[in-house]
Formats: sequence, structure tokens, C-alpha cells
Amino acid sequence: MPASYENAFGDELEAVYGRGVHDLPGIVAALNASGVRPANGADWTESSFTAELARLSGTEN
Amino acid sequence: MNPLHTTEGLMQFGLRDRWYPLCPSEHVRPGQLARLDRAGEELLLWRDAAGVVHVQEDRCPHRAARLSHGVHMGDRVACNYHGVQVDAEGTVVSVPGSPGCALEGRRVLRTFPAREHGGAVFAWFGLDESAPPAPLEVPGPIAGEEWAHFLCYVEWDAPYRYSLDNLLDPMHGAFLHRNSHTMFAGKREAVFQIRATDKGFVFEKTDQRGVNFDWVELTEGGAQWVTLDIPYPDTAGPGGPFTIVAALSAISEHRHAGFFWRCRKVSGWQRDSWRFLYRNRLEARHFAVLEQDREMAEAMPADAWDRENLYQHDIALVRMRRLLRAEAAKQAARLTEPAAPAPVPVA
Repeated sequence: MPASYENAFGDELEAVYGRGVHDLPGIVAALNASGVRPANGADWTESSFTAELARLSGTEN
Repeated sequence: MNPLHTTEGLMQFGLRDRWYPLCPSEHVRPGQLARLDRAGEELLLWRDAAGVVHVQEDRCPHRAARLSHGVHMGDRVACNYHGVQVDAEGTVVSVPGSPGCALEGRRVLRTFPAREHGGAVFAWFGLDESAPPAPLEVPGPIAGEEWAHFLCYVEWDAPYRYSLDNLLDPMHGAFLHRNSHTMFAGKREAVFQIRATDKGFVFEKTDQRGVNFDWVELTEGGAQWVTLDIPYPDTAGPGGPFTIVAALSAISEHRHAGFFWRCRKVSGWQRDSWRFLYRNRLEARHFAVLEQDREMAEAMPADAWDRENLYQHDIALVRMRRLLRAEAAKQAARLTEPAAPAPVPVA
């Protein structure tokens, strides 16, 4: 079972994407308007968002 | 008669002169002797000390005991029955019960060329076992760096042909999978056409693309691949459509292994995003769709092909079956023809 944070993050991400927002600045702005925050509680930036995706995606393929 | 020497047997177990995927790579663990039945052969899979995978017949050359019940010795396998040792080339390297006997040094264990790609072990099943294999050519989505993929491996209680039928039948998407996250849209009727390619054909709707399961490609060469696209909804984020590369191998007449590489053309942060969403939620949704296919296939009668009433949507099945049967008949004839007399050396 993924951590509840991952599920919440996934929920928000799917909701943002579902509205047709697929560009980085748009996604970051939409996430900041939501309740989901990175672990340090700060606002999302493009670099913190992409770093979080890299962390969550795992490395093996 | 060996079923692999008959047209019907080759239809049931798969044509020869093909690469078949056997299992996910991680199923063959270091130091382990794995037994698998695939494509009509009883196989032993093991990795040598360097991690290279070997695929051989699970049959001691001495008295046919199962080598998979033996001992892994790093670069060789020892049969547990009488200690006979065989190496990765299939050569008997030691007969401890009778050192120096004629069996020592003979290359008598059937050994199948093996490769690993995309997280799976493949083996070549040649018509002529002394001939080198064809190169293992894989479809673009699992060949290169521009794509991300995850391998989904399943074993179903149904002939492998039923899965092949299912893959070459795009129209079932709009019906069986109508409530899925990817196949809820599109027309419920369609006109299809077949387009020949270098190594097979594309079967496609003439009036709809990018809406549902709208086209499929069969590649029939040194391996049998089915490739298809299913559009992703916006919720899947940026990137190309959901692309499936499928390959099948028979386990028995009524059971098969299915390999579904789930691919998407994505790079950079978009790739990370898809991989995260796939692991977190999409995989479960894709699997639910596959389960619908499994339930349908496993419930089919054993003689489904004997009494059908096909219509225009089934022309890809007809074409595929004709292709396979013609090739199977040709191979069966070659396998049963009397050996040609040895050529007379020219003085």
C-alpha cells in the first residue's frame, strides 16, 4: 500500500491533469492552490515538484 | 508422434524458428535451477556465476532425470541421480561414476539460445537446432530510450491462441472494456481494413483513431509481437498514448504465459510523473481491464475455433490464423521429411 501522502499527491495530480493542465508552471500553480504540500510544507516550485516526481517514480525500469 | 512435428501441434504450442518470452528475468534467481514448460518444451533455466541466463532441456543426457532436481555448480549443473555434470553449452563435463567414459566431452544436452530483454528471458526454438538463431528484433516501444515501460506478466488457463485472437480483435474494447478508464469512448460500430506491413499487418478502424482501441499490429518474423495503442484520458498527464507490446508463449495446450509491456513515450519529468501514477494507481486500473480479458478467455470452450460465425471485425483473426497455419504446415513438413543423404565430398 502506498503511503497516504502519495495517494493524496496522486489524487491532486490526476485532478490537475484532468482539467487539461499539462504544463509545468500551470501544474505548480494548481498544486499550490490545493492542500497538498511537500514534506517541508513550503509552496511547490518547478524544481521541488520535478524532484518529488523523480523521488516517487523510483529508479529501476 | 511428437506434437511439435504436426501442423496442429505447432498451432497449439507455437511455431518454431521463433523467439519466445519464457518468464520475467527476476524469476530466474542466482544459484537456482528453474523448471518451466514453454512452447512445447520442458525447460531448465539457470544463471551462471556471471549472471548470464541459460535455457536447456530439463533432461539429464544420461537417463533423462530432471536436471532441475540437481545441483547448481556455478558454471555447470550436476544431476542429482548419478552426479553427471553438464555445462552451459550442453557438454557433459564429468561422469563421476565412470570417469573417462564416452559420454564425457559430448555435447548432448539440448541447449536453446537465450537472451534477456525488457525484463524478460527469451529463448530461440529453431527448426534446425544446429542453425544459429535469427536476431531478436523487438518493437520500438521496448527498444529504446524514448519510452518508459513496465512489464506485466500473467499466466492464464486458456490456449495461447485465444489471447492472440483477443489482441487482434480491437472491437471488444468498446464492449467488454466499455467501463474502463481508457475505453469508455468511441463508436460501437466500425469498419476495419487490413494494411500489410514488412513483417505482418496492421488492422485498423477506417473511421476512428485515437479514441478507443482503434488499431493493432501483428509482427510475425523471428518472434511474434502484437502492438496496440489505447488513448489515455487527460488525467494520465502529458505524454503519448498508452501502448501495449504483447508476446505470448504456450505453457501447455490449454495454458499460456502472457507478457504485456505497458509503454508510453515520455521523457524527463513527464516520464517520472507517468511512472509514479502507474505505480500508485494506473497499474491497478490496467490490470482490472486485463482481468476482464482473462475471465473471457479462460471461460471459452476448448473447441472455440471449431464452431464460429465470424463477421467483418474478425478479418484480422482469419488472416492471422491462415498465416500461422500455412507456416505450421510448412514447418511440420520440414520436421518430418526424411533426412537428406549426406553430400558426397568432391574429390
